[in-house]
Amino acid sequence: MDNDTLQLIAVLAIVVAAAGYLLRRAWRRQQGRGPACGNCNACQGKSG
Amino acid sequence: MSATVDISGLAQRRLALLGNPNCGKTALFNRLTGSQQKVGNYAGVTVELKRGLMKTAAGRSVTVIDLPGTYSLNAGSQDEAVACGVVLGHSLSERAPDLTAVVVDATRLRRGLRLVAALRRLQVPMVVLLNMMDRVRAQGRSVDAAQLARTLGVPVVEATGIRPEGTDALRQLLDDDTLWHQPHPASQTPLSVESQTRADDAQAQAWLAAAGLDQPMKEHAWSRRLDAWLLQPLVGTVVLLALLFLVFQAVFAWAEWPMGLIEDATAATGEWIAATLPEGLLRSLLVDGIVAGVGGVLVFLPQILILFFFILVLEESGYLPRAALLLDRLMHAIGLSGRAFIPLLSSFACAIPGIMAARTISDRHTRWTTVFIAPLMTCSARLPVYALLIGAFIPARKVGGLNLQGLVLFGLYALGILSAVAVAWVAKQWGRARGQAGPLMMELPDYHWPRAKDIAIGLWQRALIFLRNVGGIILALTVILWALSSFPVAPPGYSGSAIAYSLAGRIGHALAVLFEPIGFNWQIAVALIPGLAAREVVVSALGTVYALSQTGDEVGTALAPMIAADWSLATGLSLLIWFVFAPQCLATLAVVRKESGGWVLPVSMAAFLFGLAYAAAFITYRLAAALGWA
Repeated sequence: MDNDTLQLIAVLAIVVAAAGYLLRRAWRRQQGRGPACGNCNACQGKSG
Repeated sequence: MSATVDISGLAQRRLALLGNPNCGKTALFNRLTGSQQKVGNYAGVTVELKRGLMKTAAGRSVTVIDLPGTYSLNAGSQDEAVACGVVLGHSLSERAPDLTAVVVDATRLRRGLRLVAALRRLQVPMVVLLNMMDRVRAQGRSVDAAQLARTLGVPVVEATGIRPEGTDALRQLLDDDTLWHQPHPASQTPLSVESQTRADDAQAQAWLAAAGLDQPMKEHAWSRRLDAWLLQPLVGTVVLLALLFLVFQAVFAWAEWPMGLIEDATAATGEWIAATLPEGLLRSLLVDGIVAGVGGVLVFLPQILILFFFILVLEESGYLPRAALLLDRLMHAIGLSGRAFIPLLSSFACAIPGIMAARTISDRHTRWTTVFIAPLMTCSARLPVYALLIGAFIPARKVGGLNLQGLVLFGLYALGILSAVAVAWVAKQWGRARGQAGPLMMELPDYHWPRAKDIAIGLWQRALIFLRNVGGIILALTVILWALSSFPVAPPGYSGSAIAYSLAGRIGHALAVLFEPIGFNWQIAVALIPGLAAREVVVSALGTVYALSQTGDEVGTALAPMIAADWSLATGLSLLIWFVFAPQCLATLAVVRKESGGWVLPVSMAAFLFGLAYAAAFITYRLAAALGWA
């Protein structure tokens, strides 16, 4: 594989990971488990 | 043959910490459970119950529940209702505790014993924790816990949240099984009549007389001497303004050196990556995206820590409730009460805890007005944006011996406060028929020197929050913005810049029509979109967008000089004013929706504040243009 292809694969992996992180964060917030959603009781319940 | 298993250590016994506001419950909770919940030398820091796990001396597990402070069992506000509801078994979400530990400030015994009397009347199983005994001893006095226990008819132990050995007696006491098996009365409804409150007070006084403790404690002499000056309306206001002024001067004057270090480290990292990796997409993502974007935000950490250092010192010293008292008259003039001070003050860190702290306000109209104006207080996420724009457009020179950049920062904070005052005043006129805010009843704690450890923990937690944001949401959004700014790739022979051809460039150009009247270019329009997730993302987004617009020779150039060269002063000022008002924070709007239980308040808040931001930025830009700064 040449340098350009390698860099493209690495970049795609990083972008997908970032998008996944944002989606997961939005999902957790929707569920009342995300950071700064204000639903603190839910988080405390999870962490014991 | 039968095997016996000791399951006593697994039994999750539940202990609630109840007491007057500012009697040290949260410090004890932290000591018992090893938590690091926020403590402060003023009432109303805890507005929700918190749970943690502790071990008794014999190693048994106990769930500890830290409750908001309350003076009686007749709840006047939502946070008091939480406390009373849990202890009396009325809470739908929280099972009644097996045992209640009433935390009593030993320097204010009568007030604490009033609560004990109310609980005794309702036969709630309890123990009494005598807190702040070190201050009693400092006055050359003593409180005999054993004598007090005999008088009250319940176990009494000394406890100190600020010393490691301060909870040993309680841990030993909790190994007594009989404490956990006391009967709970079936009905525990408190009587809300005034006579009952008076009876509880008489009972507390009788206990004190029986225990020989009815001599009032000496007043904290230098607290009273300081208050004679600091609560005097004119002198007090001058001191308050001077203190705030000093804070904003320090934010710029002290941060120069550490910010320079971070800037150098960021530039060196970018240069190293550029020299190590061959040219290509990955190098562009790392250098133009991550280093330029994330590094651009990271540089503001010292300024945030300096600001919080001062806030923590003022909190710990006991000065903040005095400031609330000073501002109470102003608060009433605009239809709020001094009770709104703590939520609004919390909003300087972040509007989210500020909005949640508004639960301590019992009057409905006052509470929602406070929630509405909380986002106008300058939260710490705005600081990187302000610092970037001030650094780029305001010369670093002295005016009358004062740092001009610090003066402008002070002015922006003042503008946020003044606009909040104006909005609250309008809300007061609109809701005049709905009743008046009640008088401020706030306990003034004694002054004491801030503990270095508490300040260090507070700063560490603040730094972690910032770094978590930088490493999480800011990093992720920067990567996405880089991708949107890099694809699709411009075809060979395309005459414009590559970023202008990208998706982000096209979105920016489409939005530029909307923002052109207030002087924003397409790069700003692009940066404002991810900035809705968190305000400081705007800085990283601008860093990425401008880095992608550069040629290779300029790699490592700081963002401030780039925007100073590209924007007019009028645009810089317009963006500063935009950030004073715009609710660029979806998390805040989500919390308002949760607190209000509907969409009306968050949607009207967003519409109003965006409208206000646009109008203010428009006026600023046009005025600046008229002065020849466009």
